Amino acid sequence: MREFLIDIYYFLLALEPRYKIVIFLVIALLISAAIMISIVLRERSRKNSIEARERRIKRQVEPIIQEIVFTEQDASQFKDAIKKINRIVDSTLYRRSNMNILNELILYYHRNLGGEAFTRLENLYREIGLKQIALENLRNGEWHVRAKAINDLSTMRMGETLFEILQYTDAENMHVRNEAQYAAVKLGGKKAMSFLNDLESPMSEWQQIRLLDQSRKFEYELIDHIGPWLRSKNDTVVIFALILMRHLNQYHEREQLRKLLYHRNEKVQEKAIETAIELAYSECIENLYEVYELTKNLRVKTAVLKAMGELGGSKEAGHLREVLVSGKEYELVMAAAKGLKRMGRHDVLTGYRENELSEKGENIVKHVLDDRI
Amino acid sequence: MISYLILGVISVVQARKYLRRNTYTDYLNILQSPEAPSVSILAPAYNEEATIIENIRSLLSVRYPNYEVIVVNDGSRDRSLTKLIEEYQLEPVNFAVNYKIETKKVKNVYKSKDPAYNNLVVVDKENGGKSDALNAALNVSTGDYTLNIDVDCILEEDCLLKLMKPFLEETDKNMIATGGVVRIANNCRIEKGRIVEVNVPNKLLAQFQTLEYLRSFLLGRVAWGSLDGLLLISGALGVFQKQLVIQCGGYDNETIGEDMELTVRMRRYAREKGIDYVVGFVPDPLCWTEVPESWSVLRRQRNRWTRGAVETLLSHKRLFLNPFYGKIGMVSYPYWLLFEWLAPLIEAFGIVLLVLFSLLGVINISFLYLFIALIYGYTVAFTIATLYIEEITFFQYKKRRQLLRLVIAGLIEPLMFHPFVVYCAVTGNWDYFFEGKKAWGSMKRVGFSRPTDRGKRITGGGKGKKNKPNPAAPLPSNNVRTRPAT
Amino acid sequence: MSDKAKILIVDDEPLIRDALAFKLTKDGYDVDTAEDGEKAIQKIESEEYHIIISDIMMPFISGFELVKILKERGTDAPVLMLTSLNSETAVLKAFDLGADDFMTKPFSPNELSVRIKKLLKNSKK
Repeated sequence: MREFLIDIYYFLLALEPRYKIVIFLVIALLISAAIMISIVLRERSRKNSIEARERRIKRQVEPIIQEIVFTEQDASQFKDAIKKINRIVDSTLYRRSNMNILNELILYYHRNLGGEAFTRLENLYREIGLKQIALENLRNGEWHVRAKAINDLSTMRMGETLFEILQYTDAENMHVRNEAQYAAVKLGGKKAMSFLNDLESPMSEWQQIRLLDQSRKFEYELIDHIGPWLRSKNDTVVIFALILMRHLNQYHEREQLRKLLYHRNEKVQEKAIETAIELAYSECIENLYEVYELTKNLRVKTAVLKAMGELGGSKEAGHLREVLVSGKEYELVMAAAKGLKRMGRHDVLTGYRENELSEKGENIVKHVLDDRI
Repeated sequence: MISYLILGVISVVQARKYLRRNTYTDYLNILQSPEAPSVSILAPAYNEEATIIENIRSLLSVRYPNYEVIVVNDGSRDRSLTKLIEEYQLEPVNFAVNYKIETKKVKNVYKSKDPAYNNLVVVDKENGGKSDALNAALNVSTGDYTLNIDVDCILEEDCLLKLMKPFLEETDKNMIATGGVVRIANNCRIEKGRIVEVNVPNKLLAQFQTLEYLRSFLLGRVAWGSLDGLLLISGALGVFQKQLVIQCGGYDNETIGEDMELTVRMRRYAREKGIDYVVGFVPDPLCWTEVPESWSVLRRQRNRWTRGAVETLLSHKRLFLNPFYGKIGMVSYPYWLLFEWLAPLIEAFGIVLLVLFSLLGVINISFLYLFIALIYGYTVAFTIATLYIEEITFFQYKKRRQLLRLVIAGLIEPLMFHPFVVYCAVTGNWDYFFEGKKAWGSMKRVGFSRPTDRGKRITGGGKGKKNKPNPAAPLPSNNVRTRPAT
Repeated sequence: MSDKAKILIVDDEPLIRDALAFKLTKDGYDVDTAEDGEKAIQKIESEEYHIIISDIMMPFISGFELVKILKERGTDAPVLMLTSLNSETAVLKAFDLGADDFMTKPFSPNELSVRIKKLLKNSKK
């Protein structure tokens, strides 16, 4: 055997350089492949053991948490429970990872159980030290760690951390910024929303949806900052303010709303019209005729027709009828027909002379009159 | 080859970023928000009576607040429509179809009498092919966005939420489309229309495709997606801005690869109109589909793909190295041209040359062997690298045994599968250029029968090409669709 | 046969099932769980439950479908929907399909107990 190997060795040595290179490369590649496979397999077992540990911890901690949440406990029982949990998660190597597991478990319960379960879980969160960990992460972590920390703190309603979180509402990293804004609204309320006054970075629609969700608790309360927001140079702030007006029934600032119908950004126009409809702001109808003429944007025009149908009277019915007969774009004719139906003007919808409506128009009328669609 | 390395690194970085970003994302807000944009799911169907009810059912249980499902019966010759009418209590309504895009005639539009299904719209029309059916769905749709899906895909229930998220998060540019990732469902345990357990396919051929798929996805799509260079929104899953699709003219009836073609065309259109646009990509696995398990079906599929790719590339040759089109023209298109189209041809040519030369004694035979060994080693290393990346990112294949299977498949692949793929590419080109099989050919009249084993899967036997469901064969009575252990 | 009321909990998340089972068992009920709509229907067909608590967002057979099927079959056990969805549409749809009560998550365990008591009392009449 040895001779065989020695033979091969000398054979290789005697080859031309280019062969040597090729062989060398081949061997190198195969070795690196083998290394990667072994790394992968090792990672696997590591992952498996992590999962096993996770399951174990969950199994042990769950009943204690259930006891805390669902039963009346006095201070000493609570302390005992904390001690028990500490014993379970404590470990020289894995404490951090265990605390993460515990964190997720508590958050999960908090998302699903309310009432007095909230306060109990929140106490637990504080006493067991997770709040401290989150704050440390917020101060020292990478962007995704910080964002998650803020998210956790706001989910667990740690109001006392609000001041620190507020520093990040205009942070450079979008995710940290978004989480901070969300936490501000959730923990801080209307006052905390003042970050919108000077906000320069754009708010994505996603963020607007989240903030709207949190803002629901202000419904019917007066949000006085809406005025400045509607006048903001940041179009996304304007749109968000309109969304708030619409969904939270903010009836003041209607003059500003009227002005927004002429905004240069077509999305803002559209949103403004929708808001006017929702707030039943029929005084702006005269402006709508102008807007209809001025704009070339189909969506804005459609929104105007919808508004006329919702808020208008016979003059508007006349205008809608005109659009219906004109036989222009499908969307406009459809919007006009729907508007007339909304007004209850079936007489207009069915009272046509022969051939006054195009075939498209007739189909659309039939469509609109069909209640099944 | 080096490019793969670069792409690989980019992919890993991007994939981790995506995963981190989404660890705590709560989709519940948008799920209930009145401000969630409206989406129309377009589902063309042809002769799908065996599975259509189940498929539509999974579409109707997608988690999203504001969407409609538009099923287009493209002149099926079987009982697809009848089954739908029965199951969902459909009745024809006076729908005014807006023929923004010309299609074959729409015979009827149906809606359900049951208010629980009021977001289901069924369109019955004359047969016109998949593109035509999609266009008809577009004409009927009311959403601002459209989601195209192949009816035999299994969707993750959150897929629409995840696909819409990039649109909602984009603040600077106009996002015109997003694409999702298709994963291989062979041998995965499917219960009640959902993937319950992810497994590596049993059949070797499917395993090869898994590897190929993982490579192209992990080393390609994720990276390109983050660079916004994606030329192809995987046909099975893509959300588009409806208005733009219609402005571009909808789906092209003439091509085979209608989804890729549309994506390229939309990009061109946007660029030509001066729209500052971007195409999003969601690296999460959102959709599962079965891949062919027989060589002949695979051959037809690859042949079709090759012809489709060539066709799209040629019809948009204006993009080639054209600085007006930015990244797409200067980087993506040439890359696609070189690596997807020409590479197999060059490879085939090269192999032929090598063999010839060595036979003629021009090249030393041992050098040839070594060279081949080098290529082999390189490919294997690549595959292993891919599996490694999969481990540290999405980690779908959890059982150790399965990983080993993939490794073994990776060792065999360069010898068995890769030459086959090259062969299919070559014949595809031949068919395209010399045989003139530009259209779907005989497939066109039948419809868009995807060459999968779908028919086989359902009826338990026979080929799946023309998808004639056998009425005598028992349909699965329970809902658990486990793969046959062949 | 014990005279404890029997409750069926239908939810695809195991932690929720466990938590509810814990709480309701403590409250003195006989608790059974199902992880999705189909299993729930199987259980309901084989045993009698006095009240059914169901999530809405579940795979394939959603809570809505479950309620619909149960009411069509004439099950007279009251159905309480417990879900994270809190939109008006969800509430209306639930009651439209025949649900007897609706609670959103996060929910107060005490409130749940009280509502269960009330539903049981009403259904006994």
